[in-house]
Amino acid sequence: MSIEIHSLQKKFGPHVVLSDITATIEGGMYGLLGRNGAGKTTLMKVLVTLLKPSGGDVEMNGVSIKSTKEIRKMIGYLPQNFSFYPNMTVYDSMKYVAALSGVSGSNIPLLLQKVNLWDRKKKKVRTLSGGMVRRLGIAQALLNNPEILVVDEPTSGLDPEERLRVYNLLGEYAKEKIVILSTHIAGDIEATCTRVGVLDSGKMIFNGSVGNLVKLAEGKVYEVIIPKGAKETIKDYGCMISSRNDGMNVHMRVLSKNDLTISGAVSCNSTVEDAYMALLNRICD
Amino acid sequence: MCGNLYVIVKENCKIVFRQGVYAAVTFLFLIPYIYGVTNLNSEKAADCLGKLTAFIGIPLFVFILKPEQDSDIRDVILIKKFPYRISILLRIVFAAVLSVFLIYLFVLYMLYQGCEFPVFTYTMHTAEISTMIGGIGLLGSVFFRKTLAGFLLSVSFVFLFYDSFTVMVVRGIHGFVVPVKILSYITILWLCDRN
Amino acid sequence: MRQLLMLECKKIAAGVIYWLFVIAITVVFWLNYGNVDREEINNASDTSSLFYCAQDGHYAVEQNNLSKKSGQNQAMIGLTKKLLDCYKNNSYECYPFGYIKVKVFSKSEQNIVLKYLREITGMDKDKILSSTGKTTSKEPEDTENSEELSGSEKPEDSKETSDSSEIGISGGGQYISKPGTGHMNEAGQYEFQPDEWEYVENSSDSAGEKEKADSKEQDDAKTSNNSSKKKSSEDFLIQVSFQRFMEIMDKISGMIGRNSYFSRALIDLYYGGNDMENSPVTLKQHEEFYNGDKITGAFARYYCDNIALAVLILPVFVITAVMAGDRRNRVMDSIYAKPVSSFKLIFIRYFASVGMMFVPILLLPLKSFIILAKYANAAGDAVDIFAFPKYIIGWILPSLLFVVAFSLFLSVLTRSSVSVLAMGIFWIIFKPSVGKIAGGNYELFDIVIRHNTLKGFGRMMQHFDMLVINRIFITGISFLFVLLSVWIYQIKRRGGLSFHVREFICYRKREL
Repeated sequence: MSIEIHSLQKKFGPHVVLSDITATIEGGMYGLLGRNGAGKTTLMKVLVTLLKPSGGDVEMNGVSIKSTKEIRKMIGYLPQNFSFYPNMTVYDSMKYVAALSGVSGSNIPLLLQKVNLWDRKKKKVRTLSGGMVRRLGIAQALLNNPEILVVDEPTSGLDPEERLRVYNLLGEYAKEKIVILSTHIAGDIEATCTRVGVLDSGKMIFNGSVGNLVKLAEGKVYEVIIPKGAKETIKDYGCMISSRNDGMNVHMRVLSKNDLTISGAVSCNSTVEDAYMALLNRICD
Repeated sequence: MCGNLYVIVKENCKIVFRQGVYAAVTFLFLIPYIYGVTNLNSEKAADCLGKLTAFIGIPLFVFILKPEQDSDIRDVILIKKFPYRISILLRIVFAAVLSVFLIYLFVLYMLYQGCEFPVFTYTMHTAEISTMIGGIGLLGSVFFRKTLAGFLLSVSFVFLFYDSFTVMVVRGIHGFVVPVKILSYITILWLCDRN
Repeated sequence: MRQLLMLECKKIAAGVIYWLFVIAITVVFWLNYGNVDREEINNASDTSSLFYCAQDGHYAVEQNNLSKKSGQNQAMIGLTKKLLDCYKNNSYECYPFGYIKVKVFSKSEQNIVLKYLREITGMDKDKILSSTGKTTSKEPEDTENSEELSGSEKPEDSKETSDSSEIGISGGGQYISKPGTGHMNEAGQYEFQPDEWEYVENSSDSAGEKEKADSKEQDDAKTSNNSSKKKSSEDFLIQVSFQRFMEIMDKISGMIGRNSYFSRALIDLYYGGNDMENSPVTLKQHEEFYNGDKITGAFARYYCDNIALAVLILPVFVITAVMAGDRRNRVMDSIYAKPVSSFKLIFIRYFASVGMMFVPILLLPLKSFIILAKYANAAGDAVDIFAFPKYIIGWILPSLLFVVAFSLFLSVLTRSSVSVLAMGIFWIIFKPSVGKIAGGNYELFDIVIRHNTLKGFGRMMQHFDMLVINRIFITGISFLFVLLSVWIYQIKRRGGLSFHVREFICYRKREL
């Protein structure tokens, strides 16, 4: 079970949104990281056949993406701004999606239980909270038991508890299938994914395991404590990843290509976020 | 503050203009082909104005609330300091002015084509009918929170009272219709703010 | 598939637009059709009611129609008067889209009309300009003149009997309209006022004998016409045959435009013996009503006529709401990515919309059917129990299929509510013109069929072939539009036609 992407390109008029994307995605959870506007959603829409590629090809389990009907039987999709008909009940909306998917819908009770919406099956969609709607979205994406699940920013706008719940659900599903999820929160990738791709301005600047991504920033991350007034001067030395106020001082986490020559700067272990920032700021070049 | 007010007035007028004017003007261009406006006497001119021209009220008024139909946009707009009702009132006033203006332009064209009828009276009466038809649509739109519902109500109203529009152009809208019209606009302003 | 269909129907029924549609169509029904059945039944003793049964078997004389000399003469005089009037005012009216349109002729065109007037009347230009040329008349002079042409005897007290309350059938007398009378009402029907009928006391005449007497007397009248005509307000004499006259009318009609007063359709309407509601029933109409329509058929047809114009515009809201629901609720991407085929999805939504809208249209006349059936049962008359469903399915359903299909096509193509505006313009343009309102005048591209009278079964049957062809054609065009919608929907589902425009705009905004 795999997804093969060969030199994928997507243009909107003269603008190239995806440029020469090549990757192989195998079983498990695959994370897609990138800035806003990097092309994550566009790539996902190409994968779920909502957009036609301008160049290149994609094969899912040996089936070309041009065979739309076959591909749509294999995939489940949760869009970024998922919503549903507000006056339908939860159960009716699942039945409707089952009918659209050409499945019997016998697994609706199980799915609703899994996403913790079984006790709200008779409630209308418009009465659900944002997190519940997102869970309903996951349930509808899983209805036809797809081989490949594509979720676009599944946790945006959710509280930490809901986010955890969503990732647990997705993680469980990823044990035997392929789950591709996109996010711009690096911490989510670290917690859930085995492999990751980083997009920037339509190009895939990294594709590999999470461990290899983290290694890119190894030895380039420092923690330093400086006076508040000197905060701006850190730009001369490197790229600030995060900061925390501590009275008159500021604890900062800094990325630097070369050794950081500020007194008190301590080298520390890198994280996915560090590596992601390093990639985007070309500190890993 | 004056600068802010100017911006508010300008943006609300732009909303009305963008949404309704193209459809209204296109329709006015079609009327000479459908009806013919050459050498009409006052009776036939009233017929043309009442049974066709007045319908421009539908695109001008019914779409007034469309931008805020999306709840995400509504929520942002309603919590702002400047009352939403005033914005809607501005749009209604501008739509009414636009309606009179477009109808007057069309009437001038009719005069140019040799029609003979009392210009001011017919223009104002036609504009009255136009605001009445549009107002009904707008009321439906605000009540059901769907522009399409407002559209349906406007069209149904036109369909049911089609034959009386010619008389209304000649004599104007009288009786209980005027207070009902005023009341419906007050209701629109009252309801538009609810969440 | 059945489950998806039921779910789509449920979705439509849950929407407010659908119920507004039901209310609107019900109001249209009550305002237009209303209690026409009860009124006809209650007026059964009135000579104009279709339920009227003459005790002595004598009914009104069939209106002069264009196959009879009297009708032809009446038409020629009336049309010539109208043409004179139009020529003098240089104002020629027509109904290209169901609305009156006035045309002004150029000098050369006026000369052509003058040439024809000279040919018809034999008058020179000065005389033409100074002639009275009235098109309708209730003056006594016209009555005298019409007597010459129709050959009828005028009773001495005919003017006193013009009050409708004094009119009554007795001893085999008949009612005929005074030629040159009558006018078009706002609904496009040609109607007569009660004082425009004249009672002919002729106990020995049946309708058939009357016709023979007419034709003989017309021949006599022609020879003595000149002297009587000079006394009348008309100062011309028709110089051409009816065939030549109609050729001239065709040419003039071609110069003015579609459905002018001089077109065949309107000549037939005014002078061809169409069925006016307040005219006394003829024997032919009586037989058609009881044997042809079997009572319910006439009312079913009338109901379909009353609903037809509403069907031309109201369904667009329901189907637009169905398609707009995906957009508004941001469900499009979810649905697009599903395995369901575009063909299945579009067709199911189409049939669900048509089905849901068809239900109230089918159920509304149920009460009317019960009233009519009850009355007929009591009177021992036969009814056609399937008349209402037959007419609704054959007459209204194709129009409904077309309107929904066309609106669906525009909704899918534009992804906006512009289909409503487009359909509004469509309604204005494709509203049946005046010449079609009385029925019988069917053309291939008529989206709705009109028949604004309870009478006219014979006229419908005369052109039944064309009616069937039209309905089949409209149904076929509907399915073509649905297939086009499927094709476009399929393209859009793959990101074609509009996606890239939207994405491009979003991309540009992000760049800036």
